[in-house]
Amino acid sequence: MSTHETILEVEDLKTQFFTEEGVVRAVDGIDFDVRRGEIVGLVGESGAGKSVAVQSILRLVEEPGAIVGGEIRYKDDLLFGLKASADDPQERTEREEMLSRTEMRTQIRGREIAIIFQDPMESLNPVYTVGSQIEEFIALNREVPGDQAREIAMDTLRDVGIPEVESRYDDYPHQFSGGMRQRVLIAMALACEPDLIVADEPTTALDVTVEAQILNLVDDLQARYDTSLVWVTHDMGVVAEICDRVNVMYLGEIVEQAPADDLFHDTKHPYTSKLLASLPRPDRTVGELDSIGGVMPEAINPPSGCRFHSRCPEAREVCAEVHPDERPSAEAGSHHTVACFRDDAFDVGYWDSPPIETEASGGFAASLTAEEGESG
Amino acid sequence: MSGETPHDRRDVDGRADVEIDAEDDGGLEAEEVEARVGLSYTLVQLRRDPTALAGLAIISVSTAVAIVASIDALLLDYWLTQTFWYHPELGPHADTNLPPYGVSNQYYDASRSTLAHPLGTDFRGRDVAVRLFYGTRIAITVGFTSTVIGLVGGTLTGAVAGYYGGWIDDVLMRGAEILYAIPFLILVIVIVSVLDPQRQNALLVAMVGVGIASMPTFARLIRSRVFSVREEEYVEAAKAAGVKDRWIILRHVIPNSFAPVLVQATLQIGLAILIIAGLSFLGFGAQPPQASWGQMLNKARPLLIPNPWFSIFPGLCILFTVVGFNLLGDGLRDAADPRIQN
Amino acid sequence: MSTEPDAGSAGAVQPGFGEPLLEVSNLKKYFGNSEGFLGPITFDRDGAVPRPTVEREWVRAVDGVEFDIKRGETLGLVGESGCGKSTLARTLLKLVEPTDGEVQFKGVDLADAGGEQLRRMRKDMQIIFQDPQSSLDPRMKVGPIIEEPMKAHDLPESDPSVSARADVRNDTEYAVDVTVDDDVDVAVDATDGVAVADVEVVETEEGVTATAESDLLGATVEEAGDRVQVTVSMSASKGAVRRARVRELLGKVGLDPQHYNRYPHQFSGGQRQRINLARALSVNPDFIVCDEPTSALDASIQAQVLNTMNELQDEFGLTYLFISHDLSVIRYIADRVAVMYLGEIVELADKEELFENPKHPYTDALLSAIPAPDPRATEARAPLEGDVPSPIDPPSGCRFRTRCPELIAPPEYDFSEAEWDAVRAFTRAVDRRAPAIDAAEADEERGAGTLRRELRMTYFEDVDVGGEAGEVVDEAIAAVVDGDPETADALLQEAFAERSICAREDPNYVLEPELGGSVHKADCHLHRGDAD
Repeated sequence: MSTHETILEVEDLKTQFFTEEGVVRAVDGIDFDVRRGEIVGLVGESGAGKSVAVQSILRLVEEPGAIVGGEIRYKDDLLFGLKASADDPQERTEREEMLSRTEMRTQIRGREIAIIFQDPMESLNPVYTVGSQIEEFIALNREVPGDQAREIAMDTLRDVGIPEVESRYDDYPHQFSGGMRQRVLIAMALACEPDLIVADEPTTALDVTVEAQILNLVDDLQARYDTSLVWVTHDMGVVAEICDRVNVMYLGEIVEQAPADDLFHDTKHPYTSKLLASLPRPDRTVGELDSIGGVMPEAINPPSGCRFHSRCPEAREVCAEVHPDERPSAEAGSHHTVACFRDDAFDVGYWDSPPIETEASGGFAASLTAEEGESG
Repeated sequence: MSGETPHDRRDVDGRADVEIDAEDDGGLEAEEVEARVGLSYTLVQLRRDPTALAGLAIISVSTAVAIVASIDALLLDYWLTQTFWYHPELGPHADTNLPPYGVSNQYYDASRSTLAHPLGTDFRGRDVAVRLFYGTRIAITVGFTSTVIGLVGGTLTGAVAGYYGGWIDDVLMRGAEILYAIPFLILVIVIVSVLDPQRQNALLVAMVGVGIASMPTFARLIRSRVFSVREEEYVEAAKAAGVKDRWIILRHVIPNSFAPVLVQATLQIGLAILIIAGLSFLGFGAQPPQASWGQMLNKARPLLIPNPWFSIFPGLCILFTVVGFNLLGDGLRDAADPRIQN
Repeated sequence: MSTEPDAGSAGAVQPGFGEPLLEVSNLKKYFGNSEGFLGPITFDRDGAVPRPTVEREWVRAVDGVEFDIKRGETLGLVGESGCGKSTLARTLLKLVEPTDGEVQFKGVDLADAGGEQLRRMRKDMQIIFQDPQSSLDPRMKVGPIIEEPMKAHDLPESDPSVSARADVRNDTEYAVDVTVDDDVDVAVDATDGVAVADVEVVETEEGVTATAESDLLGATVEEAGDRVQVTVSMSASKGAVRRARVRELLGKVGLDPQHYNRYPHQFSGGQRQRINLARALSVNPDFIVCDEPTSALDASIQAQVLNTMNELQDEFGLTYLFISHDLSVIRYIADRVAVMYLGEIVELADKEELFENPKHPYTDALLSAIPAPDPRATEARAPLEGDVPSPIDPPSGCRFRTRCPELIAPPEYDFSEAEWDAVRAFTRAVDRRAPAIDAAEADEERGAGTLRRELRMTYFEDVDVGGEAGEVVDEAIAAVVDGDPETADALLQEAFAERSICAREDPNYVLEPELGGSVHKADCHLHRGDAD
């Protein structure tokens, strides 16, 4: 798969929300790419910034949020990019070749990059029939006449396994079950034959058996159409099941990036390994879960140095002082990047630095006394 | 309250708090007011809304006037007006129909007008300004009292109906709908006629009547909110913990359903003032010689052409007060509705 | 599990662990289709003029559930959304009125307990909800939230079966006589039915003074010659005792006692679930129903909360009914597991037995559907087809039969395994109007013969169903191609699905467990030969 061309490239993306309480650095300098025919996972807990990251790709971030830096390239188009302004070097303006809002709407969204949201009920308008919504979407994006759009819509609905398409075509969204609605959304995403589908927690609201159906369906369709996917989830099980490569996010940053198998079996970042250890297993009985102490700090005022150091059992003084960038791991090779000083790719004197007291060492009781608000 | 300018922000906040207290349904403790996280947030939002602030300013002024007038009438035995003006009912009957100061028309010339009666005198020689002064007292009292009656009755009825559902809901709400089906003014007139055929306590009965007639509005409003609040897990948790229904309704259900009711209450005060003015005009509210705005309008009716100030001034008072409450109500509604926030 | 820790004021001798605390038999909860007195009226639109008919449809949310929960254990209840597990929880606690059946809690039938008696019984059974957002009143501070159940039951109250005495540390030369009020067990924890108050007697310049260790107790001294008389009694009001208990509970669930005066919105989701725990624990219950308490939490936070729940269970001797849709969580926390499908419990066994030796095809399907957090665990899985049927009109016999991959062949036909697999797949496809069936109807350009052949290729590629069954299949295929899948469906259902034992008899089997536990209940006709 690595021989395939890169179709999406995100570089140093920064998205911030300007609120009364201060600037929320929801996404703070992430890099990742997606190659043709690949499923790339974006995994993290709530508040990690993964949804904002994918909204940024489609430039769907709304007030008071804005993309403030970085570059997003899709094939030959520049979806986002800044340059220093001519008159004021501090001021940065959008580059000329960057797509306009209209171009984003007419050329990219839906046609080239489709998006599937978590809650299928909210993505479908309850007062229109399912069929008419897909039909309209196709007619708009593929510029085909009505009856042809209807035909395409029916075909895609059959493709995603909707039974009785003829008679269910004119049903309303509430007449479909949750799994069927998610199938409809997948059909909608597929209808314009996009090269990239962004799926934002598409199976989180579904039951396991339905989730299994959807995962199988996606696997199947992806193989058939050679579509690339960015799969946002908090569920490590789903990641293991479906993703080729995985980006682990923590507090607006990507802390580890690796092929799925390496991520689970050659874990490099303490956050990833702690996260894996905190999961109850369906396939074996565990005595006690190894939880991560504390809660994710707020993105408004992230910890200094490594953002995970406040909860990291391996934290040393240097972790609180120096910010680790993401580098290819010295041991695991270039395809596995990690932002942790314990890796030999860094030479900041981690091993000589004295260990520090963190929430992880103090147990959860200590951490919970800290003042913090909603992390959602 | 009266000494401060209404534009002072601290004053604005203070006023708002007092109002919550005044309109509380009475079953809640003082700390409960403090506990309304959502409400205090709403009030902070309100400070940024110039129309709502204008409404608050108008209400503050008229309430202040009403309070001074009440103190004068009840505690000082009209000492204030007698000293600085003179008693409205005991006015010098000789100087009837004086025009406002400096105003003339084809019937009256300005030379008769005097600064002692800046807004003129009526057909009995009573000072119009003083009558408006005491009229404010009636209007504000009537507005608040009838609204509190409607608010408490409606809130309790609606909350009970919504909380229990089933046949209790059916009975209470069908009853409310019957009241709702009768035009408001006619309903109040019927209530007043039945309760007080002799018009001995006409104003009091009119207030109660308006209160009763406005109960269905509050009941329906809170009931629809209660339907969603009662499904909240903290209500179920309280039930599961063995908390009594009465306590759950007062402590959890009503406080959490109260925001839209508060907005409605503000609008309702304005409406009540208007309705009672209308009733007084029709002879069902304040009885002579009480100086109410509606009453003044009624008496001014035959003299519309020669003495327009008889109707213009009470009309303006009604207009401003009602608009004040409506502006505040709209502002509250906007502030309480997260969808409107930018 | 032999010792019985009891940190609360209740020092009564409780029946030992392992005794049933809660016994449920034949519990049913049906919901009517609509409320209100005009609700049941529906209009029949078949005729020219709609005919009103008075009829109620019943949603059978819980339909004949039977199990018990032993003191000190955690029973896991797992099932997909809509299977009735939350309704079961609420019906158990009589938060909704059961339609039928019996719930015995500590030997008292909840159905007979009405009004005030039921309200008092709620002290011993608490519930924790899923949504940390909505389970705490946003307008109340944390302290009053946790106190509320205590207030409702007028706690703390002295337990008459607990006796009180004092441990005196005497630093004076006087001999000390001590009397202790009976109600000090409100302030100090009782062990083995005795509440012991620690008192210190010292002599200062002003004379002899006594101090109780607990802030909630007061001690008075009377001097009489060379002896002093010390009286220990409650000095704090009930409110103060409650507040003290809240602070203690906050510490126990892993929060800061200083959080007493904060509002719920100042806490994160995990912390709010801890507040819920503290509220449930405040009245010292025996039994807590946990309705998906961690499903709204992130993985790392979920682990913290689950661990705390385990610790609290040990400390307070709690019994949990733990409801979840997540089998991994159930495997971590439960001792025994019940699997629910469409209002019924289909399998119930000890944890290890159920996870390692599942006997019901639905449990099997659930287990294979969970994605394990390991890319190398690549078992090929056959996900269940179709959706859960409507609980208004559930399938006869075994409710899982419409989706069951192991549906038993009707004895009338002599099917080979491959034949039955093909017939079953075809029957289901027609029933669900699967895309292939749909396509066969939709296409009218090709001849009926081609379509028939194609259908046969799709569903009966390698098998040749003969005899009576073959005729039915032929007829059904013809009907599908004619554009009449209803007839085909009816034919196939009547000939195959309805004749299976799975459709005709309600399965109810108790098996011998292989991996521990005393009973393995698995309601599947596959085990009709193995059952006791």
